[in-house]
Amino acid sequence: MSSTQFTRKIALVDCNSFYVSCERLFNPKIRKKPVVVLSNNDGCIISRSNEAKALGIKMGEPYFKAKNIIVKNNVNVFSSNYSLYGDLSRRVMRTLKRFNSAIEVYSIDEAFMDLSNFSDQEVEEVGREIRNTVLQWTGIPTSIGIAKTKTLSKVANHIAKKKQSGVTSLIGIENIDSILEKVEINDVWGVGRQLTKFYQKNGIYNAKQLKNKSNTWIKKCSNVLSSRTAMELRGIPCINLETTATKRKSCVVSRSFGKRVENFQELREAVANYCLNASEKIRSESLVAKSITVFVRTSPFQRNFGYYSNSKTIDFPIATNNSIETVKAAVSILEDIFRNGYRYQKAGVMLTGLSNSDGKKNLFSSEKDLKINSLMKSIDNTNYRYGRSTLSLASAGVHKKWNMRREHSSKIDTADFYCLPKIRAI
Amino acid sequence: MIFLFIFILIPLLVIVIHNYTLYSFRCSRFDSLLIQLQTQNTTYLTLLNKCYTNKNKIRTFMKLTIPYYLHKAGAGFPSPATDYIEEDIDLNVHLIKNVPATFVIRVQGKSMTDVGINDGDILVVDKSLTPRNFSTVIANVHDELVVKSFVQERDKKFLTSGSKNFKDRILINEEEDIFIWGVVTYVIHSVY
Repeated sequence: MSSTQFTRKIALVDCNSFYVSCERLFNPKIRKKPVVVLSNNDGCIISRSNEAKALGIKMGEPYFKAKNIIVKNNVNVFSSNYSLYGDLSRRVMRTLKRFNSAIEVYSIDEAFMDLSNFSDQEVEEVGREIRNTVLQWTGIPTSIGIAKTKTLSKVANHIAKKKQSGVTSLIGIENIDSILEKVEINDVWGVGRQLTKFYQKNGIYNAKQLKNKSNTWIKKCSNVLSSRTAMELRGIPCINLETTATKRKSCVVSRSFGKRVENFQELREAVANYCLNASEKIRSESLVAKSITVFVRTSPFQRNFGYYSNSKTIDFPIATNNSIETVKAAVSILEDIFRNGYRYQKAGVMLTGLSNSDGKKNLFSSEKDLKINSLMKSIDNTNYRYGRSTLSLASAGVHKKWNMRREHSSKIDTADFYCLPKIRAI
Repeated sequence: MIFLFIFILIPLLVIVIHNYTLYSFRCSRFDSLLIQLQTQNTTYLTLLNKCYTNKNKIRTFMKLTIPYYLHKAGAGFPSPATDYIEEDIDLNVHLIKNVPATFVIRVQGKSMTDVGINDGDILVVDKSLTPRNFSTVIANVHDELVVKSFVQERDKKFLTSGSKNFKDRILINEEEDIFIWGVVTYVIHSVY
């Protein structure tokens, strides 16, 4: 059967400079201006508008290095406001789900969609409709690449980014070699930095050359994943859409501090806070943790103050998601691994061995568990209703001097009643 | 007797094994069972339909949980309200039709008081709608988002501040960056 009508069609929907677009949504003053968004603690540049890219500001560049260009060109700088980005990401994904296609949410700003039930001719039009709907409903501009495989849809998306319409379909194009020739090897999905070096050493500089290499050679020299990439470039689907989210196996909360932390008291507050965060996260997915790890470290770049890094794991007697217990365990670990006289830069908490908490009872469970569970539920509900850390443990502290630096935050949150965007009536 | 055994006792046995908290039961019809489960502080009333069809898959049966007011089973007149139990009203369901496209924002300023929008009010804004004549909208005017009234006259579209004299009208013009951002669907104003 030569049914070219209904071949497999995968679309990659990617939000353009997502964090910048989010900041622009309620702030039209920066719509056509250069904008950058900084990572936690205002460390590095993690999102750039096209105008900022044109100024030569690089992705991942430390803020202080780019400061000269930023000041000279009046670039607008924002600290990351993840609750806003998270809410807008959810809105984009929910809008995509309206199109009744299988969808894989790949990251905060990317999703794969299966458009196989549209014909070859109409699929590009469908792509444009998706793009327009997302733009109209959420205000976030996207680029859409459509092709036979996931890897090719990434390539198509790359091309779409540079087009005015924002949509590119490689469906129905017989020979895509001339397109693949222009795609550099390090831009191919699934080819990382090490693999790029290796391929270049062997004379493979673009996607077309990889496509034409024999499978046996790739498998022999690298691994089966790389040969899958090559197969996908040939238009043979090897990587499926993962439409169901797999339950997480661990949950990490770790942050760098806004300023170096030296005394135990402050470090304990920070660790307790991360613990509360992590416990709340796993409770919301109704999971329980089997063990907990705490780690601390000083800055690896300030060796003259002495470098120290340590971590320790302990198991809970019974798998738990109870904040009080996790904080207790974490503090006892911290007492073990804390050394005086260091300037700590980062700490983190990791809950591991997660499993479902489907109300299992065991020999050791008691009346008290029920009470604690309902206490946790009330804490979560209160915090959901009146904003984060309305109710918290005393060990988590009040002042939070170690908290993240976010000097340029827009302080808007579309999902928080107390930080709603303000619009003037004039 | 055999019927009774197959239809009621076997499923019951399975249920008893799965829920050791089973408290009491009664058979309402031949093909469905009304089951009352009692835990420490809650009572659930559950209807299991046709639970005899496949006793291995008891968890997948259609399950209806009925909201349940626990009245003392007295001999007096039963509360007539029990027939009218409903869920709490969820304003989100009624005020937000298109969830991903709806934003909630707060108003600053008094220019729209003529159309009933005051300083500090909450607006529900749907970005997916197209405005009708005299709709309240959020518009981008010279790189600022503002609350305005949308007025259409023949083929021309204007923004006004809702006052009757239309002296402040602004012509909508994409080239001058004057365009509609979203349409206001509800105003929430505190009067207490």
